[in-house]
Amino acid sequence: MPLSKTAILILFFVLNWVAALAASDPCIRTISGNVRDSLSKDFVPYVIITVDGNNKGTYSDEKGHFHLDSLCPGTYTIIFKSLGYKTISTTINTEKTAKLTVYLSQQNIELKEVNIEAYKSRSEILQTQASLHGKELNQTRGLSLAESLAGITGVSMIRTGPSISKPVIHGMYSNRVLIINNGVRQEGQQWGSEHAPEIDPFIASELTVIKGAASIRYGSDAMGGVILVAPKPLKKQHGYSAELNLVGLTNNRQGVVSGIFDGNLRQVEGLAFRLQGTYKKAGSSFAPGYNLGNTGFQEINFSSAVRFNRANYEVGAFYSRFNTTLGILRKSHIGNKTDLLNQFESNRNDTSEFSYKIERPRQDISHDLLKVYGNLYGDYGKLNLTYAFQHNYRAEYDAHRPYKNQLGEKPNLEFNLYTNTLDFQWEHSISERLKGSAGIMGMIQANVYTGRKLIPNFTNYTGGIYLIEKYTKDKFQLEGGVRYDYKFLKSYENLGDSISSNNFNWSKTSGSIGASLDLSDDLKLQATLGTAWRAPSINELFIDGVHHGAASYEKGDRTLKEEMEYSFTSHLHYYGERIHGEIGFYYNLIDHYIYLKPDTSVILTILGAYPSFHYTQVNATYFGLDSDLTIGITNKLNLDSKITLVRAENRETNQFLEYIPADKFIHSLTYSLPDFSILEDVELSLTNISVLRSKAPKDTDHLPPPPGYSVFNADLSFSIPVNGTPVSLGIGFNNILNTKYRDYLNRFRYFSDETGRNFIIRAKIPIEISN
Amino acid sequence: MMNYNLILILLSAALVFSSCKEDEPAPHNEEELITNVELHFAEANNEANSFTVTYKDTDGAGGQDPVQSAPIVLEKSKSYLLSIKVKDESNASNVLDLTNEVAEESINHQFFFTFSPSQLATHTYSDEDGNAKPIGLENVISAGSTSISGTMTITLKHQPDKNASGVSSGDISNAGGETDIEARFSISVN
Repeated sequence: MPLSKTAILILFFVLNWVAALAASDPCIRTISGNVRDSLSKDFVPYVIITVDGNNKGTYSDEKGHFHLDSLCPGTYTIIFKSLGYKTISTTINTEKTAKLTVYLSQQNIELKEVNIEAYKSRSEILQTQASLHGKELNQTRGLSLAESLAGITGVSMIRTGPSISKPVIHGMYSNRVLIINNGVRQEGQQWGSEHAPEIDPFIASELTVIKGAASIRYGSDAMGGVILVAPKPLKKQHGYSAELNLVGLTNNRQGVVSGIFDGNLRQVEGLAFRLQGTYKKAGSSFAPGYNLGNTGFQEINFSSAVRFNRANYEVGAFYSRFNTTLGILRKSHIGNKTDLLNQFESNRNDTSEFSYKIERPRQDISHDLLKVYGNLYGDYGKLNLTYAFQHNYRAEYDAHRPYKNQLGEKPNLEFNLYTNTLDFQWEHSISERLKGSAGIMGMIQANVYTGRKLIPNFTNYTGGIYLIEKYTKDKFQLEGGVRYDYKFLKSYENLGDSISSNNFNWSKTSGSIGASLDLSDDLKLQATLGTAWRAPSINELFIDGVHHGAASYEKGDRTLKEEMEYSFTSHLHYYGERIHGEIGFYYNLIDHYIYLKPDTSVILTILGAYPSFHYTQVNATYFGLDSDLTIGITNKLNLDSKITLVRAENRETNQFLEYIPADKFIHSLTYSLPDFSILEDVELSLTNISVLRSKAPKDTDHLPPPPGYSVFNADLSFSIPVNGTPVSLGIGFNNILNTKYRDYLNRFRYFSDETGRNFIIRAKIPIEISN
Repeated sequence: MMNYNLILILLSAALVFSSCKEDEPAPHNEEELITNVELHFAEANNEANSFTVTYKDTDGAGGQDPVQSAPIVLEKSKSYLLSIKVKDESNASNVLDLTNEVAEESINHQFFFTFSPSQLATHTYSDEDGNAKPIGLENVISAGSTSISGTMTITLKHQPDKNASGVSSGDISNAGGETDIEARFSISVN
């Protein structure tokens, strides 16, 4: 890995300078430390930390850590403030103290705030997780959900050209990754690798990735991990506020407008609401040197929320609609294997010109989510009941419109998926040291298709019950969980003049046990052992048809058994003065792992020959390493190094599995200034993303994996106070060198390069409206 | 008390919502499938000498492989008029002829004919689209002068580049586009 060697050399070089500078500037004292709950010893995130008599301040990060810098030598009073906790202050002398741990004690909470509850329930799970919020989330504005998360270690994305991307956690995706959208399990046609999650990232003020199986709390499918899309809590004070986000991207001439309007009525105590909407329009993207014809897309999203609360209860409703039309690279839609081979050989560049027009092949997708919920608070803890209805509509238009005129412009394939979910959850503390949650959840689902035969209609009933308890004693935490799930699936296959039905039943118990230990104030070690399982999905059982994007014929197998996972994850978290970071290791054994295996034969159709694939099961091993290390070179300059390594093997043949992310290294240098002239919170970063060649076997695919690549991105962000409110602005510059490369996890690597240089401008304008 | 009422209201709301949905989705299908390619051969100088051969895959991709109804046998050095029909026979009670649809969209379609070995026969187009470019629904096939057997591959391309070099004279290599049909017929010349 030549890149990290260079980085280390640069680092040493810069460190010399730091030492020299440190001697000359007295105002470089730092105080860092962490904030913890006095009882549970959990780290407390988002504590507001201010230095009395000084305009310096910060807040603790999601791990409860904070860092104050550029202090002149002297004595300061530091104030720690957080909702639900008693405010405390402490006086320290910079010459004596550089590190401290602060314990906050909980207020006798009368005010049951939603946000505190949310964070608390999340910290209950001893699991490796990472989240994007604040400035980091801002930098991803305008991108898709998967693109936003791709900077997190252990996370990658699988793409189908510039318009379709979906997240990959620890090498797993689609049915093995759950997305919890505002507390509701997102249900779309997630089995398809070209079916992107139907979520507007602007809904979220925080995106969290739970890495590794988190089945106990979220459901049996969560073998790879869980993505939590969490909106900002509704407004707590009377009045109105709004926020406008504007993003422009040059590569595909994309414009994004997103707005939020929040209100809390003075007239009705406890009634708050939100309206939110996003509009995106993008034309076709450019690879270095040529246009990617028909890769434009358009998105219109809308959501609204209302909540009514009193001292001991709260009820609310949420509705969101996601709507997109997206173009698929024209030359990727091909007839048969001969066409595919022609595409490889001809290597003809796309001669199309930039256009906003979206033509066939394309997808039209909409997703409606309606959620109603109630929370009760009392001596027993918190009770939550949530019901949600989702309707997912997906229409796929092949390149060729139907010959029959009466079918007109109708899609070649259409799915309507209706999902009802009901969740009941009880969060409780049995004693100060023993806390936990228990829950029951149920789901009823029906899928109806029209058009080309691919998967049959089905109904699906799922039920689950779980219990998680966590024991805390001083620096030690122990967590255990157990869950039972049941799934019933009935398929309705159309045999022309009759319907053939098949019933399937699966049920299993899974469990997990985890522990964490604070080795010192800086160092925390965590390890979890668990089991998870997943029933085969409808496509794995029944798919029967041609996949035009990949020129392949796919066949399901209705005798497939459930997958069984035994996982071990461990995590070391260090937060030192100059260096902080974490390193995680995981090792998963998956029995009856379901995957699409290439056949040696071809399937003959009227369209010619197709390579044939079928779903089968093998015993597999997934293991890997994630690391994220930040080194404070100076108070203002940080070097961040992220490494994502995944290995997945067929245990029977010891061969690597296909479509697993290649080794990824992200290095960035960030220079931050608290203020510069009229600008505040200035941050300048230079990032290198290097990906090695995939280790997948060369002979099981149409083409061997593409070589590794290295791209550079830069970003500048700052805020300008306008009438007292900070307007955040950002300028991003992706693929600065216009590097030509292909990514193994892009299904369109057969046809085209990745997109080239992209210049991004972002603005976030908060608007305070006095009542 | 208030609390229990709340739970009851929510529960019943949920039940009402979920029972609104019909549990068993009724499957219905409206797909389009080209299942048949019909070749009608007629001797150029003696149109009474004619025969029809079909290449058929009624169950679509997967299942049974496509089958050719009868061998194609051409007489040495004779010319044949070849007209092609395209049909959807996936629903036996409602066979659809899609030939007219191909003709209506002739600007976006072209048939290509390749013989292996090439001595089997030669092909020329005898129809044209609105831009005076060939379509290939009507053709002339001239059998070679030696007794030989092999294959004839008929390819229907959607949105080919009809202006690319050689395409209008029947060379598929620069045609691009998307394959709608690729049928391999066994053929012999006697």
